Amino acid sequence: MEMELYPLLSAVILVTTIMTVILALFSYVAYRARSRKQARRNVSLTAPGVAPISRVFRRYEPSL
Amino acid sequence: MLKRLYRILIVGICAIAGLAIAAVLYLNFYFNRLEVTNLFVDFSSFILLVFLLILITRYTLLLWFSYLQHIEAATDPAVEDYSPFVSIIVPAHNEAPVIQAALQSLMDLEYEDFEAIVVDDGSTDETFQRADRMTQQYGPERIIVLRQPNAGKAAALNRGIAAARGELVLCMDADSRLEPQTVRLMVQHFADSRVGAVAGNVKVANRLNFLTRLQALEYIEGLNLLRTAQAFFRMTTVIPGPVGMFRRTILQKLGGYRSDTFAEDCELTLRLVLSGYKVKYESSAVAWTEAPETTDALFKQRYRWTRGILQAIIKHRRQLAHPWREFMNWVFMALLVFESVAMPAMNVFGMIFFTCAAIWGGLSQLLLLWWAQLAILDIIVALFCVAMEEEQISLVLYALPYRLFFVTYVDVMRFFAGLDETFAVEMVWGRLQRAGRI
Repeated sequence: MEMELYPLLSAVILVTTIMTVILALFSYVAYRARSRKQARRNVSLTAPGVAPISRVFRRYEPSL
Repeated sequence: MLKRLYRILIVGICAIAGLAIAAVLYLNFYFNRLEVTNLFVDFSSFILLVFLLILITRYTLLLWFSYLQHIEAATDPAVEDYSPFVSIIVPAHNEAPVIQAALQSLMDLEYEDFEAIVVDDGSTDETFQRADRMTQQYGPERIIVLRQPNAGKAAALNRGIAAARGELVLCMDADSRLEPQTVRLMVQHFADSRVGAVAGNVKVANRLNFLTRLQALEYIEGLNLLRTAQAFFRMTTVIPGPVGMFRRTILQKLGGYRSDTFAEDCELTLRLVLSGYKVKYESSAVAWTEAPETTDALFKQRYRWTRGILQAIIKHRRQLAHPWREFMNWVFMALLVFESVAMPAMNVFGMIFFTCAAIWGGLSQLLLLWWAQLAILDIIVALFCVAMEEEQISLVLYALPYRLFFVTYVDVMRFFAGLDETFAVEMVWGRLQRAGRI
């Protein structure tokens, strides 16, 4: 019984860990795709000749 | 009576910790009987022991200082006669499903001298109309609704602060609901003129599915435990967006909220602490918030938090270069880096290392041992936090999936967010869909 329990638990943890990492990876890919789509939509919704209202974050550049 | 209870509790925790360590030692002994002994196994065992040492030290310190903070808070005499006028700022962008519930919670406060200022940040839904309906019901001296073109949360908060009349300003999110005693309890801390801000205790309101229950546990075990321990040194690293109270003059002196990071609350807290003001924590000042109900929404929220905190650290990184100038500020920054960067990195490294060891090295027991030590620590901490916060005991049952699924998911997400921040990948302020469940 003892011999079977540890490999079983190890397998469950291993599979769950790998599945969770894959889920996180998919979430990241989906997030990037949606972000790009939203950025494109923000530009296309702006009237011609008017600068788009950027909701894109400008990276902070510290002055040294 | 209360002190006696605490003592019993701490003795119980020590006993559980002892049992846990004994269990880990037993597992260690069991796996040391492995017949395979080579350099890789020795190295893996060494890594495992180092991680175990760091984690046990971290959790022991957190539990100890959190315990001391609870004792101090329980024995602190209340300052009942201090009740200045308070302005409550509620920035809102497309918050129609939740704005009325948030304002209604303010109308039920056990505090008389306050005004609520809703700043509608260019909403395209019915946020303004619904907030205005509340103004008509309770009067314009109680609820003021301001409108501005969409300029972001920091700008909306600053607009509200500029319009505030109160000596103290409470900033909250539109998807949050305050408990009646929240303002009364937070105000008392400002009787001490050295206190610049007080953080409240955020809890998950919509415990409806597996994911939100895991977040409910995370809020009390991951976020509030850390905040309570830091509060013992008056150096809370993040005053949460759903409930934070500030002295208005200090906010104005520091220039209010800044829009140059995605974690405006963390960045402001950093400036407050680095400027020498005390930042306290009131665990009984509760704000209920709506947690993301899907993994995609959770990813969006945590991605923004992670990059925002990293941006705040990068912005104030000079503090890390000169430990001898302001030692306590250096300690504060180092702790923030440890909790936001080192801990998640260590978890991801451990997970990758032991997964590889299991797949290619045939050492799946090491993965089990690694996971078991973390799970045991999580159960102990969950028991402590649930007892201290008088929370649902059933949350302790989620400690195992919390470690197995939730922490792995969030840490991998943090890893990607860290990579994106390193390579300056553009990002948008993602919208979270409100279900209106607060």
